[in-house]
Amino acid sequence: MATDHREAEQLVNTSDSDLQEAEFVETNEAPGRCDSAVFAKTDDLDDLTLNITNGVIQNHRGTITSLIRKRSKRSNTPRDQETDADLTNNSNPSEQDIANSIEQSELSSELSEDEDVKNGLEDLSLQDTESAPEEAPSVTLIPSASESDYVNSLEWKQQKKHIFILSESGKPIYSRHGSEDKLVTIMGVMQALVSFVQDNKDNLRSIVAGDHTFVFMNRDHLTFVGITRGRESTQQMLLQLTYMYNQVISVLTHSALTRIFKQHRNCDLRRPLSGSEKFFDNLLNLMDVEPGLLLTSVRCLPLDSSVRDIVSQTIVQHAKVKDLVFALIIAQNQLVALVRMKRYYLHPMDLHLIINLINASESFKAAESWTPICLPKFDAGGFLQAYVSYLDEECQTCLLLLSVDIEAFYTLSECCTKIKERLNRYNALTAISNSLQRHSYSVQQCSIGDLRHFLYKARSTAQYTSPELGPPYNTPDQQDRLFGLYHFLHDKVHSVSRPLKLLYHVGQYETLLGWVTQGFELYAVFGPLVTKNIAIHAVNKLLRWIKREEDRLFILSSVTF
Amino acid sequence: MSGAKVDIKVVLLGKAYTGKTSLVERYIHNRFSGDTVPYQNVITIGAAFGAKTVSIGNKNVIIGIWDTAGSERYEAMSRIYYRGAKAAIICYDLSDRSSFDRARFWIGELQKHEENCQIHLCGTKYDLIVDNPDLRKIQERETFALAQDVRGKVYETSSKTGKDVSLIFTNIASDYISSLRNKPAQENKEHLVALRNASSKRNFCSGCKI
Amino acid sequence: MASRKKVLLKVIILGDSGVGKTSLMNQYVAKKFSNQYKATIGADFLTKEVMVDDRLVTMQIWDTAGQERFQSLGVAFYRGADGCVLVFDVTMPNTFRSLDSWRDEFLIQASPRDPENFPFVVIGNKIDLENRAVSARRAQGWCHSKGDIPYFETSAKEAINVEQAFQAVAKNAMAQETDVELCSEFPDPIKLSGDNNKPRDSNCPC
Repeated sequence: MATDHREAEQLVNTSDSDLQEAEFVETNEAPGRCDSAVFAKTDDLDDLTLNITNGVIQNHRGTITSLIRKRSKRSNTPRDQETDADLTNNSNPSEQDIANSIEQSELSSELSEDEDVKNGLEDLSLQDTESAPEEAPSVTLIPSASESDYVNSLEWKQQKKHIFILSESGKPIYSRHGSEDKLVTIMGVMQALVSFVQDNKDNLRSIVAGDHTFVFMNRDHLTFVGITRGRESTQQMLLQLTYMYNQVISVLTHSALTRIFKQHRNCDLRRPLSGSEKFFDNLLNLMDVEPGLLLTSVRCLPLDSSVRDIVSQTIVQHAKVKDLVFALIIAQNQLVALVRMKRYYLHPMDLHLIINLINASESFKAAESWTPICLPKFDAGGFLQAYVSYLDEECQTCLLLLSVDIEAFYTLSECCTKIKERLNRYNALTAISNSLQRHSYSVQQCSIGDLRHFLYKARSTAQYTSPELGPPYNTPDQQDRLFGLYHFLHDKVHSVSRPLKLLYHVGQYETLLGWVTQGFELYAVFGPLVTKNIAIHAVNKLLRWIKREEDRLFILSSVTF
Repeated sequence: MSGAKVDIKVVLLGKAYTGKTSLVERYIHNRFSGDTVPYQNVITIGAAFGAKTVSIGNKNVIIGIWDTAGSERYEAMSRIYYRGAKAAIICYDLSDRSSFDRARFWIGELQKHEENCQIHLCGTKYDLIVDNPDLRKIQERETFALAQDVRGKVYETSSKTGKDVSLIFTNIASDYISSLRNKPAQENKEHLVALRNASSKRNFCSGCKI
Repeated sequence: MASRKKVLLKVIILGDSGVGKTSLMNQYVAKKFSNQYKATIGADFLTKEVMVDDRLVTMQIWDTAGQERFQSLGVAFYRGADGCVLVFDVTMPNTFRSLDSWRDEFLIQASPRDPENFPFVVIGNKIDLENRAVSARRAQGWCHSKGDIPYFETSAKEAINVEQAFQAVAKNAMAQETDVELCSEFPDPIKLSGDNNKPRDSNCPC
């Protein structure tokens, strides 16, 4: 092992200077237990750990026995004995390798569903009559009418990820699974937990209960709660909750949100949000399949740079209109072109909201639209007006013109007509449509044996590229597993307490390599038999390939009006 | 279709799920997807703009139609869509009482901000109450009384069968033609100018100007 | 559909210990009980679905879990309440005299926008007992002086008037809830000043 390591470093030194700075870390930790492991390492972030001890729950079915342990922010000392013991309780005791443990956790999750449920969701919301103190009324849980059946069903409890939004008074606003109407009790409990900790001038960040991690985020009178038994870390869950928060802002603006709650603390936010429910569902679905949200970067549609130049020059020529801040073309969640006003930038998180708007709405396909949208990173205080229109009959290529002039619709509509004409004249729309049909590229095109898949993010432009998913990742389960591996790898290299520049990880089914430099982030997945030397070789070869292809895969020059 | 070529601006207003988009779909494309596509999939975001040319006598008139989203959050912004409209089609669902109450709200808004806008009351989903008369929640005499108050017209339409859908727009176009005959001004240009003027005016509303 | 969504009314029940808050709640929800959360962290609540003017609403009644342990429940407990039920024991004059401070406590902590018209209800409980010490007239007088708060005399034990009292608070809370226009203000404009949108770090520009 030791020689291996040294050789690898030598190899690295000769092949790429960037790697000289890299801290080489090797792990054999199984992602199956990474949740708890990461939890321990980043413990200094979690001021408070609320544990629900397994024993109590199994015996008493549900009285919340709160073991509230506060960890002072000041003490960054390693986890103490006590925590250690608890974590062992919660984590998978097996020390097997990555793939084994994944397989095992999948298997065991099927076998122990009931247990999961007991450890997690159900018991938080339930009371128990047998064990409750004597003054408690002797009542049993009666799931009322059939309407509430779903939220009391095993299916609901087995959902891999739950997301809830509630107001600070505990009123339900959104639930990913099941109608929020039926979830008033669990939301009440969440509000009680959050408030209880807040009253002690503290913040509830997360709860680990069995296989489930509960992550809490409070922003602007709202509480966002994410519950997962997947491989997302607390940090990654917080990012997802931040996207949800941004989506709320995008619909209402920050100023309206705070005004509403200032005037009506008890307001039912579902009313002003009504009609936008789909955006929340869709955004969460995107987060489950689209790595760009995890990487806070966007994917560009692969195009010859000459075509891309035509597209952006067409926009510059025909949409040079006062007060137009951003003009962009999006095709199937990929960026085709972006032209911006000088001095203004579009943040990738905002761009994801735009992509989500297009992705979630069928209504744009019927006619030209003119709609307000708030981009929280751009300006959370107000709306931009978006002119939205598809450019082709098939409704694949969508033009968005974002202006601060609320009266600009007719002007922008004329711009759109001209843009469409010119793009057709130069066959650019056909080129876009061809690229969409070709489905990006396969990993074989990189001609690197053993490389199965990768994500490459160019940090300076917040864009990423990755090949199509090929075998063995051609079933939803396998794709889900691959996505879990990326979450694991991403979390390891971005770990707050111990960020890594390079991570080489050997599992049974695949070998992973994560590498972060000033310029890029690379997450590569190899076959299980690859050696470290080969992997490093391959990665360097891959970087050269990306460099060769970069003007097709990325938007390299930023075009302004 | 750009706004500059539009002769008449028409706006559709009304509570969410009253079938405004279906009405426009039936009128412009002569199709109906209400039975096959779940409504929440096509819920209007902001407002959609469409146009259609109609022939009245030997004259062609281009109607520009603003189909506004019914969701509550767009209410404050609705003025940008109905300003300068010659006619408003206020939709309510014949089987939903609350949508009729909302229609009164929109009438109030128009009377306050856009007094020259002709009001057309449009009860939608007529096919539902044909199938089951018990579903009718708004009686005709109520709407007639309301229409008289606001000197508007009343229709009961079905976008599913097409009943009376084109009639509304044809009537709007005819009204426009006869108004042209009455005062032969360059209405065409005027409309465009009005729009442009408006965009440079600062008195519309404190919130909308930069 | 927006208006079809079931409204949740959060109601706080306050009063000295021993006045029968928990019994009232249990009596009220016993008929159609849907869910209960038994607290270890300062508050209990019960949930019940009720019809108010043809609309089905969910009423969530929050009770303190023992005043001696949680004397001040803090802002969080009261925040965003839609209604408040003040309870005293008609046989214990001191519990009636406490109503003032319970009401004040509520108004300070919850700080509702329109305190004058906030939906309170006062309940004089235990009218089944014989040693009554607070007259209905005295209680009504107090309620009148506080802006005509509806007053109900109940017996949680005999199930007298309990339903009516809670129904009243639900109805008054609903009336306030539906009056609200949330989206009537025109949104703020964006001003292009050119300097509020600089990329903050290398992850930012796009």
